[in-house]
Amino acid sequence: MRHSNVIDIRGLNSYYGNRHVLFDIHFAIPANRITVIMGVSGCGKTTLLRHLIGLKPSPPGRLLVDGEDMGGFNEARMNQYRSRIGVLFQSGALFNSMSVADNVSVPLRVHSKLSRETIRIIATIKLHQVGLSEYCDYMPSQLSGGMQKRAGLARAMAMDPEILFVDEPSSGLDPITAAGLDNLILELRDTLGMTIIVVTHELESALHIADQIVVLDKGRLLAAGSPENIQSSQDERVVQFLQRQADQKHEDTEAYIKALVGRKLRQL
Amino acid sequence: MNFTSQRLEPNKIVVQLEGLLNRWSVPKVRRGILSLARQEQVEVMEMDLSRLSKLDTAGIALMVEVLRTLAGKGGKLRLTGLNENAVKMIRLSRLDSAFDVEHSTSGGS
Repeated sequence: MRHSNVIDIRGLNSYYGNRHVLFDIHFAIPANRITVIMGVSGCGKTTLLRHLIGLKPSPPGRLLVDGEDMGGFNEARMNQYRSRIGVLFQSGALFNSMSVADNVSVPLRVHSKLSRETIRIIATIKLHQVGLSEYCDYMPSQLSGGMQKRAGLARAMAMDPEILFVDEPSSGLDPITAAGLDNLILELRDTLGMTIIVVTHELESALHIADQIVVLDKGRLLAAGSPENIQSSQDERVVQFLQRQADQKHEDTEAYIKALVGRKLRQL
Repeated sequence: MNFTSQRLEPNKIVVQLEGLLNRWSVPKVRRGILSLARQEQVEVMEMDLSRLSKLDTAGIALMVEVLRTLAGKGGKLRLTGLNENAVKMIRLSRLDSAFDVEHSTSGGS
């Protein structure tokens, strides 16, 4: 039986070396819905995404996929999971030595037995969906940053994945193209029933596409709920984020001087 | 995925598809369906999708290959019996205007 939540995150902590970057994260990602993960730069959004796509190992029992512990996945099971997902990385992450269409074809070449002709047609269809079908034979270096990002999205969609992860889809795009991508994301949910996870700090886009919004702050889960719930939150940090208010707190001057001088200065 | 074919007229063939037409099944049926489209006399292929349970972009791509084969000799591909999934997939692929679609069946628009 299909689990109603595709992914359950249960008390996930994450570290880079000794640095603690995610603290006891709890929330669920429902099937066939769009979950938007938001927060200021450096709050841990991309680290969380890396756990969700299996690029950063998760401790046992902390991340469940269809009720199964991702922490216990062996290589074969992880590959099976990866064949179900599509990922748009923040940079687009295209292979510079391949044409745009060949980049989009890579997942299909790896994970299917489709003919070259069929794969080429699929690549063209996907590139058309992101407005780039005229650029099939271009090299990534011949595209703008925004176009590379859209080509990356076409590649992420190539397999009609059950779960689509999208990291900062709108960054570097003009407002009209960004709105077009938002509509495409909604269409993918409605047409294919995709479960979509979008990482962004574009508030307007999040409110437009999200079924659920998760707000992170300094590695901690600040709020999770429908766009309406998030907008009516009384939490000071959520309000600050929604109203785009600059942080009033300044950097720790003492720590800053200590880092420069090498020692704590004596108070005179 | 299964398909059956029936020659209605010397130049017209009906292909009925059943089950899933997706990236796993397309490699198994592609050669057979394309060989029907390549037959010298065949100018019109009617693809009956009424027993199709699921269609993905690989299935759409196969239809494009059939269309390309038939169009190359002045023929056409007609799609009938589209369910809601098929209609949405064709629309998502921005190919509404490429196929000759019969809209009178359930789920058609």
